[in-house]
Amino acid sequence: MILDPVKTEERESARTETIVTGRPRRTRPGGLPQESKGYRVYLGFNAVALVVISAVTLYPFATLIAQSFSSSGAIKAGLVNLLPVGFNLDTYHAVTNDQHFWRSYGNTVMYTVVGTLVAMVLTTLLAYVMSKEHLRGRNVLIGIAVFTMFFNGGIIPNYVLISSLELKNTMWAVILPGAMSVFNLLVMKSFFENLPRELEEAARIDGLGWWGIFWRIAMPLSKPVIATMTLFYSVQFWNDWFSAFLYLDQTDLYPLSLHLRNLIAGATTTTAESAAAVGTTSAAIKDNVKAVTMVLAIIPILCVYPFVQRHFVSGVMLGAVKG
Amino acid sequence: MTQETTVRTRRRFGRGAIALAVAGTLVALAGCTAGGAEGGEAAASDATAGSMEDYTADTTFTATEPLDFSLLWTDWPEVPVTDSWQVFDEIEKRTNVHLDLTNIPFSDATEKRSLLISAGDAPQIIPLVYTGEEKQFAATGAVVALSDYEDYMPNFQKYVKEWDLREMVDNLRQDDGKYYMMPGLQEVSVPTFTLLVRKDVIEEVGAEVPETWDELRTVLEKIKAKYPDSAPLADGFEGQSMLNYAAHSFGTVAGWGFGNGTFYNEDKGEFEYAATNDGYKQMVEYFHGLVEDGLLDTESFTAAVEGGSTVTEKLASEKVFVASGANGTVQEFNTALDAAGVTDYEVLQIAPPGGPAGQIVEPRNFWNGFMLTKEAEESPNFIAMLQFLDWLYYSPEARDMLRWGVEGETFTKTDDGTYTLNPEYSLKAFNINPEGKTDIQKDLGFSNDPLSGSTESRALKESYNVPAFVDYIDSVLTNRTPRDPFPPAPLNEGELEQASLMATPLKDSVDTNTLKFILGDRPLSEWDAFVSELEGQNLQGYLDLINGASERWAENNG
Amino acid sequence: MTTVTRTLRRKARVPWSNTLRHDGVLYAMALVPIAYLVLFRYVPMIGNVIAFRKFRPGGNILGEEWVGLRYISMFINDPTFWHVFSNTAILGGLTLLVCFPLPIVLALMLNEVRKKAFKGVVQSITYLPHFLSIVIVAGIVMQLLSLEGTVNQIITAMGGEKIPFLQRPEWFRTIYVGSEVWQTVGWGTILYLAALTTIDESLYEAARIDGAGRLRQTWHVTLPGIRPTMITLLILNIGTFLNVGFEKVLLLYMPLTYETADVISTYLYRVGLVSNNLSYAAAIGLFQACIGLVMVLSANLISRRTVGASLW
Repeated sequence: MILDPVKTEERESARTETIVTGRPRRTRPGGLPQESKGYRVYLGFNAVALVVISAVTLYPFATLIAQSFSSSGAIKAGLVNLLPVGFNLDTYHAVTNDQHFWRSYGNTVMYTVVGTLVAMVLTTLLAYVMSKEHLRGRNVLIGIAVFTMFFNGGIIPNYVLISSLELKNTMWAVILPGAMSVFNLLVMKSFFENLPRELEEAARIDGLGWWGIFWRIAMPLSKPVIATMTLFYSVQFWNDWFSAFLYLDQTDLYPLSLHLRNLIAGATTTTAESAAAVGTTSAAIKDNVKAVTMVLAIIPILCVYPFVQRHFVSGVMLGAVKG
Repeated sequence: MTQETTVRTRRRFGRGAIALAVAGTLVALAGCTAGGAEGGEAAASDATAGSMEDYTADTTFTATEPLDFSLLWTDWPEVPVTDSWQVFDEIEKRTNVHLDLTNIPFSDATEKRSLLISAGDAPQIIPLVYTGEEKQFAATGAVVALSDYEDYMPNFQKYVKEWDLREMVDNLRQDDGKYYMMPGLQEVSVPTFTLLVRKDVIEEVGAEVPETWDELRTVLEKIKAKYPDSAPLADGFEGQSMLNYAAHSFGTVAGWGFGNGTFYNEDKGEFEYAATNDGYKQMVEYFHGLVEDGLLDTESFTAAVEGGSTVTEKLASEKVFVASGANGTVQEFNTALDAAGVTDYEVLQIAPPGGPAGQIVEPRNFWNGFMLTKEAEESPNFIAMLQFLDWLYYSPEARDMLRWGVEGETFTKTDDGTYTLNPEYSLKAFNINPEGKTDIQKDLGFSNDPLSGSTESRALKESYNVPAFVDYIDSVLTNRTPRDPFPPAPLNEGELEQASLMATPLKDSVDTNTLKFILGDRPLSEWDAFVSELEGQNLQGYLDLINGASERWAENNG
Repeated sequence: MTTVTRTLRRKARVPWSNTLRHDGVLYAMALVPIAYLVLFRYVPMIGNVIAFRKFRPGGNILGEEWVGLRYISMFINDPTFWHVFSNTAILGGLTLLVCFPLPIVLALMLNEVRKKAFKGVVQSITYLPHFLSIVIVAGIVMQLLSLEGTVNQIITAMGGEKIPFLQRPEWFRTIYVGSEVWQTVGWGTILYLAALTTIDESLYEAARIDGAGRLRQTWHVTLPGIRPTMITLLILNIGTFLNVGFEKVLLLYMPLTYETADVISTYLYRVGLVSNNLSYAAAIGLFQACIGLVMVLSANLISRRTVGASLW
């Protein structure tokens, strides 16, 4: 159970009370007959507001999806709003038959899975160590991490480093630069800090060393934050095109994000010559190809969330403390 | 206990290893870069391995031994490059040269190219360089001074002479009198962007296709009378496109063509600031007049390129009838009009209208081009590389091949110069043989932007474009005069650094105020105040810098 | 109680052998991550030296020769730089002010929802904008705000006059922050929702027994329960507030709005188009980094002194 770091009196008493009285009753917060009418009105407003927010948010997506099923001319003529115009599956066929698309899709999946794994290992380990307030040199560790949030070498030194390590055009060039986000690190550390100390002390008494405590006690208790960070890292790797852009020059290795950026941002130019290049070859990028590729790119990541959400349940039986 | 000992040793080892790794990387980094820029000026003439003894113009270059050169390739997303493309096989077959490609995405090509060169990791041959892009690398010695080696490139010299481009080539010379890129030569060069008009609507309102901006105004007024809801003229490129091609006829430069902001005044014999000369003011007044009468779609002057489709939308819904575009844009407009259900229309690309300074269009242009990184100069095959590039970029044989493919296989060419694509092949990008099974661009790699299209004879250029475009070329060449190019005023390294910091605020002021004056946010009566503001931003200092460089050039190079 | 123990421990001189025996495993666990940071973050940092050395593309990546404070004084003396700096600070500050509390509010609203299915659907929908590429978002914004776009249609329907939003410098900040809100609010709720699930439910009960209505429960139980998360995020966001998104500004701004829209990164971009001056950019980068670091340290200190919670 997460405890408020500010030890106010009432918090302490509530906690002790719980421990003394045993397992808490599992009731939904506020789910008791004594809801006021005001509260019910509020709930109504709440629901309506959420629906409005959802609709507003959904509108551009609906248009995007509609565009993916529409003809290019219709999109250019601005005729597509929420429903497809000139409905066709041609672009979907064209895109899914393109082996470059599938290759980059596969690349992205690989980079994301491996990347998230590596990142989670690095981040979790360091966050746990940093969360131990008694640790000597803890502030040094934190300082080392935080400093890197602000200062970085810039593109060229990073490029030369990756190049010298012979990692160019390998999967690691895309994974390693982003393999630790100090932001995630600090959030995780915060969560670890708020795990109840009694559990760790109890485990120590049982003879577990730090690794054992970490693995058997801390990790299971941290499902929410681990799930969240896994989601964050997955999304980060899924969407990252910049590392690929910098360090890869074989199109076979491109992830989907770079492929997509090339497709979309390639049409946004600010110099005369590039604009001319886009204008002269009438092989201008079809809007429906953009829309289709975007839709196909978003789908997997949307599917990940429901899986993750299952772990957003507190997984602790407080009775363990007593035992 | 065991745990503890292991930990201790691991930790000591760990620290040491880290220190070693750090030191090692530092040394490696320093080492890699130190060797970079030196060496290799002198011995180029010894680098003859693989080159031909008797290489002359209009002959096929064949390396005397198989060679490997590295090339930077810009990857257009809808025409993804593959190693199996026939174009590379064809090159290798004829010249015995294999090209190792380094791919960069089109979306951020300039940045990546810059990065690779700055980090010292770029391939030897860098195509798609536009005049001016090589300046920053020339100043720092990252690329080869190709003027030193022109004599090894007979095709280049032949066609520069034949097409009368020598003066333009000389204008590429930098402060030290050398030029650092080799341009793509164009026998004829016409403005890429111009006005596209709904010819049918013009005729409908009883007007004629305009030859000057004043005539255009009359046409717009008539259209507006018939379609009062419309704002018939639109740009779609933040105004930058239209201002560019209009400026030349008003005696100034603007928009995309603004460059460093200076305009050479022939009478005074010095550079003045384009935004403060009379022509610029007249141009702004003209466009402002259009806005006042509701003839110009103001959004098209401010919406970014991505929103350029808004102009297409407006054209399709018949709120706009005249817009800026290139020959590819004609196709876009046609598709949109079809989708919107408009029939019996004709979108025509016309020559940029003339103005107070005459029927003047932009000066003749080069197109594409390449540069070589310093590393290339140190290769033992350097001469062979020059000959190879001379063949690839400038020989008629290579030009034909890069654009059309293999004669007899993908295309046929008659004696009078008519190119015909064989029926099984298509070139969808230009709407040729759309029914063909194999696309020579997408499947075989011909007609691809990084290589083809840089050097073109008039015949070749016209061969693959639609007749309407050929008409456009004719009308520009017949009825318009290209402005003379400005004399060079190349800056040295220190000046370049200063210039960018001085020029940017000035240009920002110009961009902001040009739009304000045109749109009416700022009254034209304040023009003089605007000029004073520019002067307050050290305009004179900037002009002195440029004029100083120009005088220096004239002294040193006659 | 814990505080006392901590002070005691700090006063006693603990020999390293004791520390290692007790915590050796912890140090071992931190080894690989720290090595990673050193190699991939600190080693490249040496490259920042070009802020004080002249850099030539194609030459030595660590610069050719020392030029001291030349580039620093270049930007200090450039009036345009200070103007764009203030734009960046204002834009960053506004974003922080608006985008920080909103995910909390939305998380709380979602927390009240009983039907899991409804909650799940709304959550998924609000996350979607986060996944859109900036180019698409900018396109959507431009479409909505164009003279014929939805917003202007609503305005004219209510009898007003059309406003060319994207051309007016006074609207830029609103547009920028608004689109940031749209894109990040939903995603920002994730952390808070995760934190909410960890609040001890018995605390709600205790509060209810004490007679608290829903609102007071939220104030006394929910908010304090997610306080650690809030503080962490707040401090981190304060530190990075100068990192205003380059791409979004680049896509949405235009000369007419430079006055409020031009930020450090877009200004550098325009300057760099002519001469790719990496040393200048590095000098400015160092300046921004120092500010960020100072902000985080101060925020952390203030947080510790006032609410007793901090990042470290």
